[in-house]
Amino acid sequence: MKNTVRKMLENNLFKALFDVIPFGIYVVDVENFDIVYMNKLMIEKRGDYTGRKCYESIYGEEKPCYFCKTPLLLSPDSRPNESTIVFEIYNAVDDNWYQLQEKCLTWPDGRLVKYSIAVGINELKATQNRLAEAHAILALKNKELEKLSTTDRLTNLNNRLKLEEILSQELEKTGQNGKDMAVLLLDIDHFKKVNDTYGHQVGDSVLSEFARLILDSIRKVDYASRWGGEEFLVVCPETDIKSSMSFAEDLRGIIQHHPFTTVNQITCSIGLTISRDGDDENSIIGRADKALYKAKQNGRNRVEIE
Amino acid sequence: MKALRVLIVDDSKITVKRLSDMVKNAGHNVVSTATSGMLALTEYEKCKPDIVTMDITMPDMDGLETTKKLIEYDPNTLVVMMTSHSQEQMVLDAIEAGAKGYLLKPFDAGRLKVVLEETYEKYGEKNA
Repeated sequence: MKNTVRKMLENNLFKALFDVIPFGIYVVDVENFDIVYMNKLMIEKRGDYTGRKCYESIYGEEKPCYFCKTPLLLSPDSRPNESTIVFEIYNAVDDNWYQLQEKCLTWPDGRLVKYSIAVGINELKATQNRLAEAHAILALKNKELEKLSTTDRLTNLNNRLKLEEILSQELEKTGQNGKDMAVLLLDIDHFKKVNDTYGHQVGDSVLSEFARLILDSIRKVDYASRWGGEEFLVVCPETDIKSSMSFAEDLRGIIQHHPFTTVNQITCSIGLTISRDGDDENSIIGRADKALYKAKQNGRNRVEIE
Repeated sequence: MKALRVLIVDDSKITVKRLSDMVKNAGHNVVSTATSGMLALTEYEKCKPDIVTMDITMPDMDGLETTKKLIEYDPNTLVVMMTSHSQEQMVLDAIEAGAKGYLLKPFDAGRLKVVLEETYEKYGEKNA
C-alpha cells in the first residue's frame, strides 16, 4: 500500500488509481473535515458528499467523530508522519462494519488531507459477535451459579459459607481501620413449636418473613445471613457498642411487634458482640453464641452482650 | 408476551431511531429515549420502563457506569447492553456492571426481539 501511495503521489494520479481500488475511498481536508474526494465505488454506495463534512455526511455525527485518528497521522509540526493506521469501526448511518485504513498526505492542490480506505467486514464481525454473545451467556450463567452457591434458597439471604467469607474480610478491615464491628446472632424463640403446631410450610414462611424484617432493618453496608435452622447472623461493619446495642434492641422490637402470617407473634433472642484485637471468625462468633445463650437463659426475647 | 415498555439509550441519534423502529416493529413500546447517561437516569425515574437498551460507548458517563447507577437506584433494572465491542473483557465488564443481555452492532431486528423478550422473561417478571 505504501508503495502504491508513493506512486500515486509521484504520478499525481490519485483519482484514477483510487477508482480502480475495489473499496470505498474518501479523502478529507484535515483542517476543516471537508470531503475533498470520494472514489467511484464510495459515491455509488453512499452518494456524492464532496464539499461536505465527513463526520456529518458519512457518520451522521454533529461534531468530529470521537474515534477520529487524524492526530495520530500527523507529526508535531502538522506534516504527514508517513504512518498508516488500520482500525475497525461501526458506521451507524449505513449500519455496517468497516476496517478503515488511513494515512495523511499532500493533495495535488497542496492541501493536507487524509485518505480512508473502507473495507466492509460485516461477515467477520458477525462471527466475532456470535462468540461475544456466547461469552455473555457463559458469564451470566456463572453469575447465577455464584449466586446459587452463596445464597440461602429459602430466605434469599447470604448462606453460611458466604458469610464466613464476608466475616473474614471484614475482620481484616477492622484490623486496618481500627474501627469496631458488631456481630449479632439471632435465634427465633420456640421455633420448634411453630413447626410442630402449624407444620413446616408455615415454619418456612416465618423464616422468610423474619429474613425480610432483618433485610429491611439493616443498613446498606451490613450483611445478613441464615446461619443455621432458625439462626441468623448479622455483621455490622464500623459500628460501636452503643449504636449496635440500640440497633439490636430496635430489631428485637420490630420482630416482636410484626404480625407474622398465621402464627401472629414471634419473638427472638439476640446475642451481640463487638470485635476485639486478634479476633478471628471462630472467636467472634463464639462470643455471639455465648451472648445468645445468655439471652435464652435470661428469659428469651432480649438482647445480651458478651 | 405483553408489550414491553422500552427505554433506549444511545448517543447516536441515528441508532436511537433505528432501534426505536425495530422495537416498535417487534410489537413493543418505546416509552422514552435518552442520548446520554445522565438523561437515561432521569428518563428511567420518569418512565419506569420494563427494560433498557444501553449503548456502551457514550461520552461523559458510559453505558457501564450508567447501568451501575440505574441498578443502584433500582436493583431490578433490566439492561441489555448494545455495543460494538466483541472482546471478551468488554462482555465480562458489561455483565459485571449488571447487564442481563448483550447485543452487538449491527443490530438484527430478529435478534433484538428475541434478546429483549428472553431477558424480560428470564429476569424480569419474577423480580417484579
